[in-house]
Amino acid sequence: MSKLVISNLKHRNGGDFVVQIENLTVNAGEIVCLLGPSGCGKSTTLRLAAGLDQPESGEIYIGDQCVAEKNHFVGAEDRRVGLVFQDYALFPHLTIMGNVTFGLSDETKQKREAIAGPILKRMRLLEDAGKYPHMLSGGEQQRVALARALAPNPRLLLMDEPFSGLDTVLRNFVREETFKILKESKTTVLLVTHDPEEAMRMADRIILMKDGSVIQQGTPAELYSKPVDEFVASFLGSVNRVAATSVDGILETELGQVPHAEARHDIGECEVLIRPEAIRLGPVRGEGEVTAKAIETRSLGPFSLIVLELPSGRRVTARAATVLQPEEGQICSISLDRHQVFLFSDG
Amino acid sequence: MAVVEPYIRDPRLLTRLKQQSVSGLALVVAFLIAIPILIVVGFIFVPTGDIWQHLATTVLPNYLLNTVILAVGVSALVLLIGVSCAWFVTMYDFAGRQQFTWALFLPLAMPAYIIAYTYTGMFDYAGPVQSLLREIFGWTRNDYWFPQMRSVGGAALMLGLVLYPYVYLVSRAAFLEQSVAALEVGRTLGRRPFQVFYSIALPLARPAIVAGLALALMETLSDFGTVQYFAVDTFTTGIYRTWLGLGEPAAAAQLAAMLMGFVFLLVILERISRGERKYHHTGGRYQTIRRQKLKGWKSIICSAACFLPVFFGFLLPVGWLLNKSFIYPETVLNREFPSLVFSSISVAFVASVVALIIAMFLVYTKRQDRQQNSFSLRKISVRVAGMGYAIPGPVLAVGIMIPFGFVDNSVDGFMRETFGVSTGLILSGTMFALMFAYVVRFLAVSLNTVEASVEKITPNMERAARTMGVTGIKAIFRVHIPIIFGSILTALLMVFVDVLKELPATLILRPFGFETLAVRAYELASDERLAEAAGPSIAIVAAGIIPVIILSRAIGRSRPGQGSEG
Repeated sequence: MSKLVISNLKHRNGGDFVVQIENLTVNAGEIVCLLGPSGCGKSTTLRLAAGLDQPESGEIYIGDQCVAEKNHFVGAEDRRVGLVFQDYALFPHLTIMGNVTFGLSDETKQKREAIAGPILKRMRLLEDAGKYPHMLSGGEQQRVALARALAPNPRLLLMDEPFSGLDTVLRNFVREETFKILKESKTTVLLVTHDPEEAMRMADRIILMKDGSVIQQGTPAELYSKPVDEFVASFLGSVNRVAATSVDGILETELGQVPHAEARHDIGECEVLIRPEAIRLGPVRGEGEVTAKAIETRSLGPFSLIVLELPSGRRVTARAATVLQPEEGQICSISLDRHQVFLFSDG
Repeated sequence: MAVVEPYIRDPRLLTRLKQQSVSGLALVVAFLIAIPILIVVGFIFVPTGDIWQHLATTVLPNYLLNTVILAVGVSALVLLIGVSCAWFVTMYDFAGRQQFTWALFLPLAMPAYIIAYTYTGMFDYAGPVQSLLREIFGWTRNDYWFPQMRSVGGAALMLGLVLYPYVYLVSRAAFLEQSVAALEVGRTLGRRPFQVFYSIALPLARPAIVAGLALALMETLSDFGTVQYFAVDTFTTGIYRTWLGLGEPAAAAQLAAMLMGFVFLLVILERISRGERKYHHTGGRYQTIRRQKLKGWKSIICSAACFLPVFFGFLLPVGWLLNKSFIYPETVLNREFPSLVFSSISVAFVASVVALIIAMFLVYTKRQDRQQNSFSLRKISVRVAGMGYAIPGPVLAVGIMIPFGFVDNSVDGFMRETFGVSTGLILSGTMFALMFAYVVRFLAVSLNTVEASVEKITPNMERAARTMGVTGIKAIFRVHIPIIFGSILTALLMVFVDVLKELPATLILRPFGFETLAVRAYELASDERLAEAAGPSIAIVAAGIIPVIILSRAIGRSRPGQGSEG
């Protein structure tokens, strides 16, 4: 498995939309998720990495081989990359075995099937080898697509929304299974998704894109807890927007004061973003505490969302373990976890 | 859970009675339409004595050989032109691509017998091409070899040039419908563009291509005008000759049955070849095809490959026809021409309206069944009624002449015996017989068009309308007609043009002295008055362009997910 490096890339996708990437690296054996809202250029980036489109400028390296630069372009058929689409794009006229051995065309039939056999076995598809794709379930089809992409031993695996064709229950299962297989085989993966939860579950690192550019790269934890801007913070999880006053080292909000490294006097009146789980609820013990009234609770299973009404009438949403959830109408004391309160001075 | 429609639970006798009589009527209509087929098939078992023996030893091997050569030649030609042009305009961008996309349909407007007249006019000994060659090189008659137009090869060329659009049409639709993702995955798995075409796109499009080829072959097998004019003996000309020349209806019917056997063999072979495979794309997401831009000689090759069929299949023959019409304006500007146009248009119009009414009736009767979720005779009747398109014109004519003649003779005999009055021919040789033939032959066209559009009206639409109080006649006017109106017009036009072009059945069944444009063109060409045939021919071609426009517009809109980007 090889490393993928994209640098100084620029590509116009018809019309005015431009994808511009200064640096994007996927290390060997790493699973990187390319995350972003639809139309942010993530699929275009994947196509450029696959060699299906030729970039206007910039370089792409797979391992030591330069596959795209000025006056030099290696097409998809010569890149040795695997590709898995959302709709799997299985060849309906070929059996499962035919699909999986499709990329092994240089060898004899026996040899091809000898290579595909263990892969099919690992994917629990060996009994289905003689069937046609439409005879399999959605989850099985997804495994065939994965097996087909992995069979020719690609240097890099590219996946375009590979799980979004599955229903919720199956999706979680297939995702876990795929993750295990990819990690076991130490595959280098660039996976495109619009689902932050999926990205956080799958990725060693996340690359978040917006309007054709990379906004932030890092581990899921970094992106979640240290977003570089409002967009990143709100894309990865829900947030409450609350008015605040910034004084030196401290943010004063209606939900209480929190120390914050970026808080400076000259910022003054501002808005901060607070994750629901940053609002801790407790019983009212005494005077001087910040309190709020729980006016609506909604259980999501292990967690509950609680809509709180502050004394000013302003409403915020908190998240708490269901066992600790207050009654509707109950007055709670609240405090803030300072690590999940975000201030973006430019926003 | 099954959805039970209220009107099914309705126990009222009147409703039931009405429903039953409607199905009864549908059965009767389907049976009437099936009569010619049944008659022809039935004649397999009628002994014909020596005549069959005679045919089998003299002409039959020749019919068979010519028909096979014709079928093979036309297949090769339509596949080569149709599939490659469809692939080029779908996957690549080159000079004139957009214009070729629809221009490649144009030869569809050209009936094979008319292109045969023009090519004979151009390339025969006395034609401009050979004359020019003789003039330049100073050759005389026996100095040189020139391909003979009037041959089985020439007939295959003519038919191939005007029938390839069937294959082009369906292959293009199939290529457009294919998941681009499958082709792209193929590339990442190491296949070059041509290999992707060969190992993915072509197998995926195969059922569609075979269906298009089957259509082209049906037209080939049923072609009469071209082979008759070129004096190539095939089944259709054989049927015509055995019937009208030898006066042997039973033998003609048996030839016809053999020919129909070929046609159904085609249909069955196509079904078998599919096997277990499924050819629909497995995914539901579409991406706009990113056409690869071609430059230099590649672009020129593609443009040329698309231009040649349009040129030889349409531009050249139309140019010749126009030229002749201008040189001999009296072929158009004569006293008979307006009445010829009028009679052609009137039969075509009446036939298309009748076919539409029957098609609507059958489709709506069948629709009731689908909602009841049951297997029924009504569904079968619709299928049978749609089979006429597969029956070659001369076969159909035989299948109509025989029962109509029988009825006429019986009635005449009965009347003479009982009342001493001769009624003569009541059905044979009348407008009714001709109209009946048109409807049987072209009902499938309006049936398919109407059926496809009625299917777009989902039961849920009707249910939604019902919840808003719109039912019965009101629903027909406010929901159904607005949705299917375009298709009704299309169905009318398609049948109209098909009838206008129809030659063999008209030739055999027409009332004495009745002429259409097609018949007049055929007669003039048979008399070697090719230039004079240009007038009626150009009128037929002009009418033929209408469905071509409809088709090319429809196919442009047909791709699911068109314009959306993943």
